[in-house]
Amino acid sequence: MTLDAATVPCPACAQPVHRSARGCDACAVRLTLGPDGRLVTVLPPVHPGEVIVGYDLTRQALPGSSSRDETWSKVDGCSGVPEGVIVWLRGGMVWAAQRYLRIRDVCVRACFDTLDEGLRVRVVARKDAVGVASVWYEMAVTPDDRGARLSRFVSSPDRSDATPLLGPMPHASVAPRGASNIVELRVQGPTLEGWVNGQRIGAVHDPTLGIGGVALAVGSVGNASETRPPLRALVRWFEVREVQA
Amino acid sequence: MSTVLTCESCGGPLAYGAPSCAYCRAPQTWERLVSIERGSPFLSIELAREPMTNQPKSASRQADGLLITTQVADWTSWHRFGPKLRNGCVAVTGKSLDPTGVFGLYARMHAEGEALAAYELMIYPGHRAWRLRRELWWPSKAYASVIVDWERAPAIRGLGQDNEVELRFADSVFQVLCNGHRVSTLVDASFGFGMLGWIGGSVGGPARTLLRTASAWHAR
Repeated sequence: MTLDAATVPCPACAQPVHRSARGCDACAVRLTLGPDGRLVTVLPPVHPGEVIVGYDLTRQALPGSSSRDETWSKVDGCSGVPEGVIVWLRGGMVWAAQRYLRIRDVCVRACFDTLDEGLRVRVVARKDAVGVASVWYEMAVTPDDRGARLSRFVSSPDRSDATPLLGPMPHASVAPRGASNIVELRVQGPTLEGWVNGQRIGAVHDPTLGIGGVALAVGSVGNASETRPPLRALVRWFEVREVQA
Repeated sequence: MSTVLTCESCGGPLAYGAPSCAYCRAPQTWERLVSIERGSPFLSIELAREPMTNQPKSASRQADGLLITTQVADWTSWHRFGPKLRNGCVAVTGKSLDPTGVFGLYARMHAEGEALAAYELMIYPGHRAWRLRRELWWPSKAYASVIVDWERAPAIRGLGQDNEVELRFADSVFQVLCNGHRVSTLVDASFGFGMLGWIGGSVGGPARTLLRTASAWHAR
């Protein structure tokens, strides 16, 4: 189908759909007429269900780690403290991945405080390998500018690329550096929701990635350097829940 | 909407194996065997005649198809076509002119910045075998995860004979067909959406492959 007088671009995937369509054949999103007469997507709400696995980081190690105190390289590691686990890095990104769970529909969330400037913390779902490369969805927060974004990512040992799905944008629900933030990503089928501190930042329909692992990742906004002081984020807890049926 | 994998209660789209419909919350059972059939056709390309932007340098038009000449081993040329879609059936016809020739198709090809990722289904007529992989590549480097490695299937015709290779897909269910015979049904939920493509190339040595048509249908 091509665009003509009877068709408009699907608001989710931009493929042509009839003006009166109640669903897009291309991306399988449901559609309805908005108040201005334009087609809008109808996204089902995603409700968290039972806890699959939870990490109380005041007592436990990060997902994927065997100890609360580890040095992963010259530029990154973690240290246990009474309030949780401090992840430190001099650049790049460090992963705390749950190794034993590959799942389609899931709610993943984490509570953290960034202690230094220049850090972005994200929760990740549907992280799947293609050879030594991988793809994933992430909901990320940068407390320095109180910004949030939901993106689709691809990364290999050589390079990475991203497709923004929501944001980046400042949002009042994001707490500034030094305060705690709870960041959450909910995925059910092609519906993705990003939440921060109990507020829904937004929802999108993206059917591109369908399954994969969950993780927490802390990254620097700038480049890595062995000589710069480490940037620190305190991670308090990490939790993975089912989606309520 | 495609009738494949829709909720019987509200008509909403369903993920294969989902315990309930995301829209109406109706419980779902999955004892049924999903069969994906060709619906209405929406694309039919005669590769010998269809104008092509960015035609691969290794491809040349012949009276009876598009000749892919691969000078090195383990190299492929490809071209994407069609709309982006989640559910559908796509088929490519052609033949290998050398024992090392392979050809097939891409489905659900999508971009991540400069990178591309897709499912790749290839047949190897010299060995009468097929392979399904997930691929991800930048212009300079490629990565792959094999879902089914080269597996012999009697439905595939040998060297120099015409073959039709087809992939039918609805949500995470994939059906591989060769010359109209269903060779395999698989579940893989990794990539869910994107364009189609043809691919021709070589394994183990230089090869010539002649591609004739690329066609696509809605899934039902």
